[in-house]
Amino acid sequence: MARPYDAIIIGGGHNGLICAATLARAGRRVLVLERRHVLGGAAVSEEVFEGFTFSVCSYVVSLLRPWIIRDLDLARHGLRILPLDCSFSPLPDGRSLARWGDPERTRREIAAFSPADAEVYGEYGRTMMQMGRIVKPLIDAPAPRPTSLNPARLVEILGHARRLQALPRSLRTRFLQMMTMSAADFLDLWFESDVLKAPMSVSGIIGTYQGVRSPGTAYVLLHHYMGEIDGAFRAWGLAQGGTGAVSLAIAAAARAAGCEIRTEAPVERVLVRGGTARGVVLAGGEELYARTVVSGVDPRLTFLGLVGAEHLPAELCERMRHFKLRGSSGKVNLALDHLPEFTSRPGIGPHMHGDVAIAPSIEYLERAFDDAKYGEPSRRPYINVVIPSLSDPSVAPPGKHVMSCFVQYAPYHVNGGAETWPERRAAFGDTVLETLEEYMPGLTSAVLHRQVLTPWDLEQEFGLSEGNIFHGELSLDQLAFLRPAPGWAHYQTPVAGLWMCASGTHPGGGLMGAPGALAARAMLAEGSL
Amino acid sequence: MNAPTRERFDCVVIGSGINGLAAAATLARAERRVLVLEASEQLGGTAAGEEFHPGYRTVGVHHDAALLRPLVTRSLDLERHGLVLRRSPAPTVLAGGDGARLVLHADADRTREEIAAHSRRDAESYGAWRAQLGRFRPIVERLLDAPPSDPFEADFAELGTLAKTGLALRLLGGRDMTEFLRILPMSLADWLGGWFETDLLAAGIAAGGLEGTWMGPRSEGSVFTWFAHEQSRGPEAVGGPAAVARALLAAARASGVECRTEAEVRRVCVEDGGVRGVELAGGQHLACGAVAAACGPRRALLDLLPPTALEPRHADAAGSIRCRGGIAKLDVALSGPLELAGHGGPAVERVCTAEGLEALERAFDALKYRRASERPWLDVRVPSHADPTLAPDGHHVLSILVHNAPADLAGGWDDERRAELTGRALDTLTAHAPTLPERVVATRCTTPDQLAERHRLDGGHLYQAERALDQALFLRPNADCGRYATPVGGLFLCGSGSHPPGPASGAAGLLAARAMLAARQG
Repeated sequence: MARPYDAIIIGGGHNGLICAATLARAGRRVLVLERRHVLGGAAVSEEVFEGFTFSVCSYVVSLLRPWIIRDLDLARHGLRILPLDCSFSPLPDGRSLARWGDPERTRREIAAFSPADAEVYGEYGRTMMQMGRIVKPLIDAPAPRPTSLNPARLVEILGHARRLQALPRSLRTRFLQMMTMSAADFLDLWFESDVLKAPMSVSGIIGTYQGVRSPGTAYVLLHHYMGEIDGAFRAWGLAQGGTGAVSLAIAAAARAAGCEIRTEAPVERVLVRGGTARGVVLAGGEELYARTVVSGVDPRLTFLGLVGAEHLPAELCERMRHFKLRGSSGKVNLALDHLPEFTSRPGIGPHMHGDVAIAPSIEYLERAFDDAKYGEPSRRPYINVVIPSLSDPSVAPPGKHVMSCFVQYAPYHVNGGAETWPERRAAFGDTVLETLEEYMPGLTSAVLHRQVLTPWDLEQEFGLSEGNIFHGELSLDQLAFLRPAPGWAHYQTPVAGLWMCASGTHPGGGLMGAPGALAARAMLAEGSL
Repeated sequence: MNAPTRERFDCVVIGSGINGLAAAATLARAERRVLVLEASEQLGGTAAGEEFHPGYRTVGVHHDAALLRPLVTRSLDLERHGLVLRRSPAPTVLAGGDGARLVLHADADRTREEIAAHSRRDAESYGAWRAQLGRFRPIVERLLDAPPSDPFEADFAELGTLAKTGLALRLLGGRDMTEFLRILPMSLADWLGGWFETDLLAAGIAAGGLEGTWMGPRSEGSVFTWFAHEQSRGPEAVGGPAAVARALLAAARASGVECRTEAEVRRVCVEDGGVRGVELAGGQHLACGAVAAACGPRRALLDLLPPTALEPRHADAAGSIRCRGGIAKLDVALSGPLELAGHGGPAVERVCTAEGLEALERAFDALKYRRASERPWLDVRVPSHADPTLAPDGHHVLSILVHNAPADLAGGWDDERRAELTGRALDTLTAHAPTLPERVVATRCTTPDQLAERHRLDGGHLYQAERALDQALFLRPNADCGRYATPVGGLFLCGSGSHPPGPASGAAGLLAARAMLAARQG
């Protein structure tokens, strides 16, 4: 029998790889097991159609923690971020709004809709950045433990409280409002123009089963500003070669530190003996042993799928059954023969190099959610379009383009049952094209190939339970010391030797990497590894 | 004796609703000279009982007299001033679709039996659920009965209070404490869906928590508003809020409070950043050192203050208080009791027609698009059983809160649309009470736009400010005025828009008065 590994990581997504790289750099013998033939999990690039490479799921880089980029030396391992300079919102009536990296240009654009909003836009950004500074220490450290009586933990919590207390009162009020309000209500405090508010509000709902009018969505608006305050690179960017390039750079860093990585190695279950995780069993029956097993898949799949209820407290199993996953989004990837223009802003200009939001009004977005609330895909969905081939010609043949469309809402629990999604897939793709056609006539006829991913596909193909891109909704009851479950929010699990390291743990989802790195640090600090 | 040209009071209270009277009585008991000014011809504000049809009276716009905080009853000796309390409240009949029925009793065991007929699993969960609520309740009541502290600006004494609340929370044990913190920001649908599989039960429990909000059961944070509402219930006052207002009035007068009707305040007079008096619509000026505004916060801060009295940032914050009214009131005179088909047992006093969580959510959706709900859900009371003086012998009155009907209905309200809403509401109820149509003597529908006009309610909102996480505790109605004092010296808020929310609670008035006394401004 081979010598056991120090750690086996289940899943080669970005968090699993970051965890692996961090452990390997600390001298541990680490094996990563990835079910698919490519690394990256949902942060993956694939040549889906010949000559066309897509960031199949996650499509922009905005939250990846700068200290992780530094610690793992990702730039040396090939990571290049291409900034997105513009957020463009076309309107059905032929008008449009573009927000640029250049504040003055943005101010002029907004002033066409509302001079008052143009004036306050800069102040809004500054306020959000100030609030980002309050939150930053929370996402770069393990979750606070409010029930702990350990003086060190209490001091930690008091530290967080003190940072809030040190703020001017008006800013603190804004912060409390942001933590509790809906994105739409919060933006109402600042702006009057729907044309501006709608595309701003969507960062509050991406990946959630909430509408822009649902309380609790405002604080996600902050994520948009998190990258910027770090100053390491622009908040919003594309990885050269697609999002998978991020994963590959991390994998390269891991391998350089001696980590072993196997693809097409699906883990069937975690080997638990005497209440302790001893290793994993692969689908083919092969058993691999390790002192520590780390799950890089979502919590429900980890506990109810790979470990099994018989090894777990009943309460945790019950919590996992009610863990809110509820995927709400899909993805449509288009290979284009040529790039049509937007009616509202003709020409293939710089406005198409950024992200394009189909979000013409708050009511449009809320109606899109209403459809989903009652089990139907949105008749007119919110779509976030990125055309990476404009900035990175390596992803498409010369003259051709790839277009990535993030689509919300597509509720996993669709009427008739999630398993009916394959029958609805084509209609879902059609809805997206019909919607886009209203802004970009001729798009449909320019499509050479299309890949449609419904939440069902995200689950079946990428192992995301219920198609949830964040491994669990980012709602207040599933954050910090409650993520994924009370008592198990610090990467450990009730099974000795089994840890979690992915988006279902603090600080949560997105291409952030903090859970993977914080989990690895926790394991090393605990000393069992 | 010569009449003074300018009368002088220690404090003028604007509005004679339950909170205004509670504030007035509390101040007067501390030897302050207090004047209550009521714009309409009748004292009581939204709690004034009215004869809406000859011989038939309402118990006020709002009808839930169990929301009166026992703190108020006790502190102002209301039972001595004529208030009669029922220790065992009437059961609530949940009336669902296709004649589905479930009765919630105050007694958990009886309720469990009822639920068992629908689901054995739910019957078992119900016991555990009630037990957990019982453990949380003291903490909720502690928060309801105290002025809200801003933990970030607390002085030494407040830190002590906060520490006590923190300790009470900690003493629940790690598991309960975590659970309490976990569920508060959740949605009712997620929380109750985790406990119960019977939709009618989940909806019946959820419904009350949505009153005064701009939310559906799927909205995050609705669990918080549910706790603040449902766990504030105490013994029920016979005769409804109108009887509470009468007792408060008696208590206030006994302590020397003077009340004037048809005395609409036009302006709160401010000099050097402090209140100097009020000016009435008729031009009369009354001098006072402090004003307690039981009217809505927007009205107090934006309509009654001189335009220059508030700095722009405070005026902006006042303008941002959300108060979108969404409830219409339907009063019905009946020639006999409300009889539900197939319902035996004692007379029906409370009915809730929330069929399920989705029905509640759809009723809320209507608000978002400024429509009146096509299938409104009803909170029905028959107050004339406990208080037979409300209707002629053998006759009854129904008091119905119709959810949801927006104040800003697209196209505006008119008589035709009110009649349509009345028709929909009565049809909903008739599905369960087939004898209803033949017993209807008269109806009166009051839509939120009318509430706004008749009762000068901001947005036609009974709670003056929506109940929501960001408009709760020391953020109610906003951060500037979360502790009753306003940016203008001597002007305090004491109405339903302050903490704790509720037109029938009285606690906001009482706590505001105490804050005024503590500030030595009363």
